[in-house]
Amino acid sequence: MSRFPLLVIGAGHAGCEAACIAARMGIEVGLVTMSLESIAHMPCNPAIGGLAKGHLVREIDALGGIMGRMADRAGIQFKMLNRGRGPAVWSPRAQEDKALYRSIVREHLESTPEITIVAAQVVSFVVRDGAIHGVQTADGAIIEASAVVVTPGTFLNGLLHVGDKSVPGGRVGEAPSRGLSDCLIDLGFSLVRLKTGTPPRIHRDSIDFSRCIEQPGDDPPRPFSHFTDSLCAEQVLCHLTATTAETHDLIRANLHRSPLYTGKIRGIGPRYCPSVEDKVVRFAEKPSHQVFLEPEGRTTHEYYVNGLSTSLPEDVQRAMLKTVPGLENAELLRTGYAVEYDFVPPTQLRPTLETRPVRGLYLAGQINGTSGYEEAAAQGLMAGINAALKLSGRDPFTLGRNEAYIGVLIDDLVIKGTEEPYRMFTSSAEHRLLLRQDNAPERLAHHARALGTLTPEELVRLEGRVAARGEALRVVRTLGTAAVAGADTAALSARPDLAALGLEAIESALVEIRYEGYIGRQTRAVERASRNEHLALSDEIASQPLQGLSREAHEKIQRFKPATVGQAARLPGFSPADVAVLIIYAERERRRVAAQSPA
Amino acid sequence: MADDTIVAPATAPGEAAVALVRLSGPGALGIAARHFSGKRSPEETPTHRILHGRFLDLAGAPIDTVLLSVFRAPHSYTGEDVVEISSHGGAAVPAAIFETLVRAGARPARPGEFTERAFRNGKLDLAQAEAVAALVRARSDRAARAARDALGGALSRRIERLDGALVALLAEVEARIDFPAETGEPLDGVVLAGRCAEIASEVGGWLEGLPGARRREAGVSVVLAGPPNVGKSSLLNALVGYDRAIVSDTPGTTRDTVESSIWLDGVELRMVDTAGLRSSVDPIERLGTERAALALSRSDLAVVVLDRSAPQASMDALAEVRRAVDGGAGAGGVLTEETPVVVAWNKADLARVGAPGSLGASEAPRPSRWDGTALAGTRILAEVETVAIEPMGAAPLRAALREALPSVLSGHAGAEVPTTSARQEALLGEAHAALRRAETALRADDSYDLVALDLTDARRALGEIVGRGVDQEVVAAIFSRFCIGK
Repeated sequence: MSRFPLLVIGAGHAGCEAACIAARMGIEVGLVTMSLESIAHMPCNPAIGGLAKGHLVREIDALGGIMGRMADRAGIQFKMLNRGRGPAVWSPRAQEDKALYRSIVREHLESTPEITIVAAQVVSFVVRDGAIHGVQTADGAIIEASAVVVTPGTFLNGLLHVGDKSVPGGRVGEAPSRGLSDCLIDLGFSLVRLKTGTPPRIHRDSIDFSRCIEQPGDDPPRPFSHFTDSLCAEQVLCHLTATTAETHDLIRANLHRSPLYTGKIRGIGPRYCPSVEDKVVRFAEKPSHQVFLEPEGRTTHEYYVNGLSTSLPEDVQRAMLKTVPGLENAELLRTGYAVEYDFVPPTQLRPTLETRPVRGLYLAGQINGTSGYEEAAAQGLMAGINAALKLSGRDPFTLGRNEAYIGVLIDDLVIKGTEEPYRMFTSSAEHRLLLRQDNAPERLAHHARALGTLTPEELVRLEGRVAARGEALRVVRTLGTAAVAGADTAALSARPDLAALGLEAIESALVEIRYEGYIGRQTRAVERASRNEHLALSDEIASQPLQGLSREAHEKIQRFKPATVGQAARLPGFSPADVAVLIIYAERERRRVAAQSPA
Repeated sequence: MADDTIVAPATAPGEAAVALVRLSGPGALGIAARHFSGKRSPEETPTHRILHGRFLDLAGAPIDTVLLSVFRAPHSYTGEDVVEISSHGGAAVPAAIFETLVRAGARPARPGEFTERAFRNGKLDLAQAEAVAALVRARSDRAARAARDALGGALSRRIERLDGALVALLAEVEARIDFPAETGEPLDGVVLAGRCAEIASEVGGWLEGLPGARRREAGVSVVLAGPPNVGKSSLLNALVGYDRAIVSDTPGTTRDTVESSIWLDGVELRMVDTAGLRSSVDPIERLGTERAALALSRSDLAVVVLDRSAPQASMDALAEVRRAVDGGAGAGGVLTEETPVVVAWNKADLARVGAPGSLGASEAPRPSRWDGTALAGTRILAEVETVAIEPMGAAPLRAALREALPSVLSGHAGAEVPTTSARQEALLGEAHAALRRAETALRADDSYDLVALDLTDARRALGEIVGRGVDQEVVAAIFSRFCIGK
């Protein structure tokens, strides 16, 4: 029998962040994985970042996480998305070499002395008196632990669908995790099914690139990480093509063979990342949908067909590919498939990602109903930090909605829950203007310092960025409004007083100044909202219905037990009138308590 | 739900046939029952019943014969148990009832507390609550009707409709941010800008209509002005229906402004009679002329009274005053092109029969055009002939005023809009400014992050009008504006 202070179950993007950050905080970690080869695997698209997800990666990086650094090292094409939509929503994204990403993360884990990788399958949890004490593996062994972070991805009762064929599995070629679902139900958790999918992969040499549009990366490329000095110079190309009327006809003719439409798949899929059959049915008036061809690595021949996620039978997938310009002779390497899996509706979690029913048990990643590598990594990071804090007897750590996308993500999950795979959007952040990808160090460096998640050298570097931006802000302000309005970053960086500060600092300072009025208004909105955030609701509120509160609102209060008016206001089904009732109630309670306590 | 019971007189103090004292809260039925003697006790009565009996003081002696109206929670104005006690009016009886109820355990209500409770108990939204305040303050049928519309939710519905359009637009903008590949043909910002402009125009039109709406609520001020002895005071008396102003044949009888109200189509017209306008050396008369000029400059509508039996002479007199008071002819000063004018040619009877001493004036023509006259550069809406001293002799003027009313009320915009409080108007202004900023950015197809923020800001401002997202201070400020008892 072995023992670790902290066990992390699963070595995907959530598990790796949890293990690494806890190790940075000085905790001994056992990282349990069913397969050493799948550590930090990207089972879907070969890319990290993108809209809102890029923000998450920048935040993870500023807090001491690994995803940004690893993505920089394994990246083969870098691009800043949304440049035309305003700086608050610029989002970095990179194409990744999947195999390289796996190997450098594994190497990093193996070279971290606090981390021990354990190859085993966990089948149940050891729980006594409502607290976690360890796990049991498939071979009957017990591993003791004081805290456990569980990150099983899509493996809980995973079921793969291709056409009318269904096989149990967490990913193609990998067995599902059985037993854990039943164990969670026995512990008092409720579980629900979700669905997600992935497109087919094809051979590079079978693509006619002359019929596609080239999609180059940015020149020069911009790294994710605040600690990356330089990126591998040579970037690869992606290509753009599109579905045709022929593709859509073929899909429509074969809908009866898609498990999504035959009723075989009951789990709810992501609306915003639909399968191609969903797109054709739901957007029947659109004659064509974009298809991006993305290499899965620098050396592999495998190409990812972004936009054709499907669970249609293999013969239909082959025929469908041939209707897309450039893919007439495409050679199918892997079929696309859908996967159904169990998730634990995250309203059963505390804001630290610790479960309510079992102390010391933390859940992170797809098990909480999210989708995406970055969302998983962000939760893994926060679960790892909080498990480490708890083991050290320190106060828990949460981020506000006005501080970070990570704060929005976790608040959304634990307060509202989710009914479909949750993906981060910039529009989910009501204080979007304050949460830019360029100001993550300003927002988070002080937290990293307090938590001790960065080395002294890294901290100097991150705080140096904050200082450089402050200096750039000071210098650029002296130039006057007119100069700022027309200024371009390159020209400014030639000035002797700005040259040393770096392009990013200057760019960020320009955004800050140009958006000043708006940023000021958003800051005031944050202050307004924070008043409700601090208006506490006592436990009594759940026991008796408040006059004037809708029945739905009262049920939500009973179910989610919001601690503040702000949290209650974000519950789905809560109307403005309900919020007004609560404000008045909470304010009266506050005054009553204040009147009773001696002055 | 409130745990105490509040009480307040709901009718204004003073002589009246009936007075009403209102009681609301968990103890309302019990307190009323202890001081009521009748066939049935309010505690045993179903909701919406009226009980006849006597109201007793603390010693059990009857104060007055009363009617109790019983409303049980939640089927009442406040959503709580409510008892309304109708007694005989006057100062003494309602005061004694009120005092008895306070001594019996009810707390005197703060201003607006009944409505605050109704709001808190979900019976009214904030716009409706404000409408209650407006209804209580309303000076005219018209204002009362507008307030009742708002209470019925007309204002709220208009906001909801605007909000619906805003949400749809915001969704489009957000989609272009979060799904750039799936949406966003280049330059379709122009299309979105058009939709944004439509919403902005509606809010803008609402704002522009507000001065008229406010005048409707507050009433309009109409100034009677003209040279001395043309019959301004007589006209006022004829319009009002009784002798409000002193009338004599002596020019300059009216030295100060005299005010009296008439109601037309439910709108209050505050008629202001002024001293005759003339250049004079008499200091008191000069003062009167200056006051008349001041009243004119503040008026919503001017009735310029001229003598039909001596058109040229009264035009000349008017021109002389305009020169003297304005320091020059033409526009500016007391009569500007902004001031709508109705011209009343009084003494039309004398013009017909020939005025004594005004030889040959009987057929003196009215000027056919105003250019170059004392009324050049004003906005003349109508021209009527009146005989102030005859029954119905002022009827043409009354008709002309009624016709002029819509244009005076609505200012330059034609549409009738829901009236709003100053707080609501400020919020409409914020929404409008935010929408215009969003429109500009959309036209440039740029900075969608800011567009989204502006649209969100516009939603917030509109939402606050109906009480969405308002904080405690705003709620308290609004309710403190009510008279006690509502």
